[in-house]
Amino acid sequence: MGLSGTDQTGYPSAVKTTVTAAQADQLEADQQIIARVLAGSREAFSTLIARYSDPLYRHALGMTGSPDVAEDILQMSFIKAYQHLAEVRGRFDAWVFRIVANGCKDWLKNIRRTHLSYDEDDQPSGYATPDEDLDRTELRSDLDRALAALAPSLREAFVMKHVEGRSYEEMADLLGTTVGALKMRVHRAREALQVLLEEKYA
Amino acid sequence: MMHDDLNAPTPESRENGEAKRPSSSREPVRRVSDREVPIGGGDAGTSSDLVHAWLDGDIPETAVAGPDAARQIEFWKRVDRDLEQRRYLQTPADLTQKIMDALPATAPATATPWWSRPIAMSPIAVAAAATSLLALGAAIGASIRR
Repeated sequence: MGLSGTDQTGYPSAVKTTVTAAQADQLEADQQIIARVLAGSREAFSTLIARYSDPLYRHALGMTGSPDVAEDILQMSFIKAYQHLAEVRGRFDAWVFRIVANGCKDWLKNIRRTHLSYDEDDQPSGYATPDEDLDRTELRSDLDRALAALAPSLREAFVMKHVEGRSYEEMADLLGTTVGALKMRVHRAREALQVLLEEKYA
Repeated sequence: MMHDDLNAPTPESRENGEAKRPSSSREPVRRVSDREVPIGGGDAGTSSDLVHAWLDGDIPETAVAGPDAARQIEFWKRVDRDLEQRRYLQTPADLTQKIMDALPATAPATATPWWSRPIAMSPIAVAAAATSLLALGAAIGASIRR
């Protein structure tokens, strides 16, 4: 097996393309919660947040590189999801993923348009722990910078494949594109990262 | 076959003057565009393709061979050790409560199909619509009689 981390994501099973019995149960459970929220039980929405926030947070953090921005995007996305909850057709997790993914892309567009630098203020601060060795911390920092240099769609594909550990089929399902196109994006992202990092690490 | 130069400057990168780069490099890092064309150049079709296949989980590590294979495998294993930690990151503990506190007080609106939504029209608009329909009907009738 390669290094895609497919078996280690902890992502809820409902997001897989092939729906098993357990996943169908999850889908049904989500629909029941949505019905309760629409009937006026605001608190029921917290169950959906708790169920799906971890993988969405990882995606937002991978895309933006900033824990604070990732939190903001998640907050805005769940508020939007709440306001438009009646429009959910099919899987809630795929629907809310698209809201978060679009939020990340909008943020990246805005930050480029306003010429803000995310060299310093928005760099991830939540990864490092005092016990980690210096070498690993340095690679992390360099990897973050290299990821930030990728075009958003390449970064998105790489993060989904290698950080979130999704299959190409699952990615295609979530992003509404083809497996071939996504493979191309992931391959290009890898090539670029290798070019950016290999002088120091290869 | 088309070949992409991953280091080629794009208009976007020039405009933004982006300089994100690993600390090891003196060269400014340019944004890599996402044109979807076959990856080529260099050793494509040999070790590079095999490394991609291995990274995708399509072939075992032992099947990867080529001049740069060992170096690339070691590089990606090193990267993967870092990515491994990110796979287990969790949402900050207080985020769910923050989101709940920020939700609107009112329940989300229930979606109704457009054909069953009530239509609000002013009397003037109703009169105008009725007049238009009558005129249209008269015109059609006149054209049929001719």
